[in-house]
Amino acid sequence: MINVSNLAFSYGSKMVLKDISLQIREGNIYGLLGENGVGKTTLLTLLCGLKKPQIGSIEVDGLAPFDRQPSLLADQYFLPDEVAPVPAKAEVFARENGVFWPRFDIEKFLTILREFEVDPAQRMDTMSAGQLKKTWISFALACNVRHYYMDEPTNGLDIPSKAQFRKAVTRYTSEDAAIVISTHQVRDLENIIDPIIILDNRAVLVNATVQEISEKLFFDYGTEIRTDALYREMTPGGAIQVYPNAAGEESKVNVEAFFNTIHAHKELAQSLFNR
Amino acid sequence: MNETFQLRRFWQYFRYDFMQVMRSHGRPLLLFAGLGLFYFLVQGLLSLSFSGTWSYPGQAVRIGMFVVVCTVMELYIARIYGHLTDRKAGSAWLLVPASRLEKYISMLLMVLVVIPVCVWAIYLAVDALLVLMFPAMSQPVAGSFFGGLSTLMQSFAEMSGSESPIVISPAGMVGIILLGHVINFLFFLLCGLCFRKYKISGGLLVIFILSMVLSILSALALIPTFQHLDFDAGFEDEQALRLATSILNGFIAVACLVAAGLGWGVWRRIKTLQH
Repeated sequence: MINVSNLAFSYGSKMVLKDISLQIREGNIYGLLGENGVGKTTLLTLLCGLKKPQIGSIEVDGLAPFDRQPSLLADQYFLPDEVAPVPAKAEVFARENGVFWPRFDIEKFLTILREFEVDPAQRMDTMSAGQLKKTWISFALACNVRHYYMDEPTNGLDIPSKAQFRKAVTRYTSEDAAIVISTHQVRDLENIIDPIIILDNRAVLVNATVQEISEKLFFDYGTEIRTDALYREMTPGGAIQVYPNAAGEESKVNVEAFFNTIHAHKELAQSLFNR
Repeated sequence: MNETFQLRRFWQYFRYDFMQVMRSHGRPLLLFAGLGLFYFLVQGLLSLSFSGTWSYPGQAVRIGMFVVVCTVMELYIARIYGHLTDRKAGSAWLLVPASRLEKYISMLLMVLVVIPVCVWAIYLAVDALLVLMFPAMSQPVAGSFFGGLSTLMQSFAEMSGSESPIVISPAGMVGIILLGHVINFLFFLLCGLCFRKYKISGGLLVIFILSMVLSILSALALIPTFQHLDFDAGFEDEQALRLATSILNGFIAVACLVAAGLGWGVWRRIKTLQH
């Protein structure tokens, strides 16, 4: 389990994260959402040990990530938004790097890469941005670790690859893995992320499961316009409206509409989801 | 699992590090090592074109070329691990599951032993081979280096008398030269790890400023001592001999301290590097 307690981080005088406390449990795919500059990437880099917490602490299975102990590094993988074009063939790169992750599976790497339609014999420094991203995603998933931190993994992927990514994440990660995905492309990932963490104004605004969200908010996809809607977005066939779920009805959560609702009604969000 | 140092993991990491360095920098390093052969061919071909005869580079030119190769290689060290300050490549390196100590030792082995020994060995072997094939080129560079060193030692001995404390053994002299190289390698390695851009020019600028400051400080410190010496008596003056010996010993002690300080600086940089 990952425990974040009273975490704060700033770049010089600019405070990015303030008093963040949350728990990340294995067996879930967390969606980390927020506007630009709210600290999503900073939080991910703190979780994986690329940065040192200035205030507060992070513990992953009782270890501090910034100590970068080999046992912890061997059980986690951080996939950054921008990946490096390595001057080697994809398969060679995977074989050479994979030795450091005890459960790395080269066959799995090759399978995922083929599903992404990338040639394992192609040099990574000659790949397009999308192909490169797919190679790194394949490598990350083939590492078979328990903690994944992915920063905008679908950026640069074409439409079929986004679907392939969703399939690969659910199919090739173990049941006990904790996956944290930071993204702006909520539509790409809304079917797989649960729970949802929304960062706002340097703090965690919401940390709730899809079940909890649907218990507290109703997502109406009908045509009848309601005046009490917290958020409304017109669509070609009608509208998506979000309002408090007073009747306890079931509805399918639309993550983008949820994010916009929360963004427009922050106080309500805190009262509804503050645990 | 031993989190600090594990021989098997270290060996695994060292092999990986070696492959990465060779893949990214093998060609430039091979170019430095083959500079003697390149010069031999260029001079010979030019001479053949203009005068109709093959001309061989003289010993002084080849020694000069070797010094240039050594200097360029020292500067180039700043680029070998310079990618660690880059967010993309540096993040991947930091999160490779090996301990900081293992990465540090591997880095030092590569920079202080593997790279220089390979470049020097290839350069000197090619030179020796050319001399063997073309006896008109006289002595190989390696032979003239050790010959020159022994002549220098002999001159020292003649100047100061056999019982003089200033006499340094050839091995001691080689040791001092190697210590100088170690300092230069570590200095440029540290520059590569500290400067995000302009790694080599930044390092040269720092050397220039440090040289100026140190020259002024050492002159200020030594002038009062030198004022009382009888320089006309040369090395026969006991006081001058003692002073020269103390300066030499002091120089060695300071050089050892500087090397240790630079090594500590590199370690500190690796330990605190964040992305």
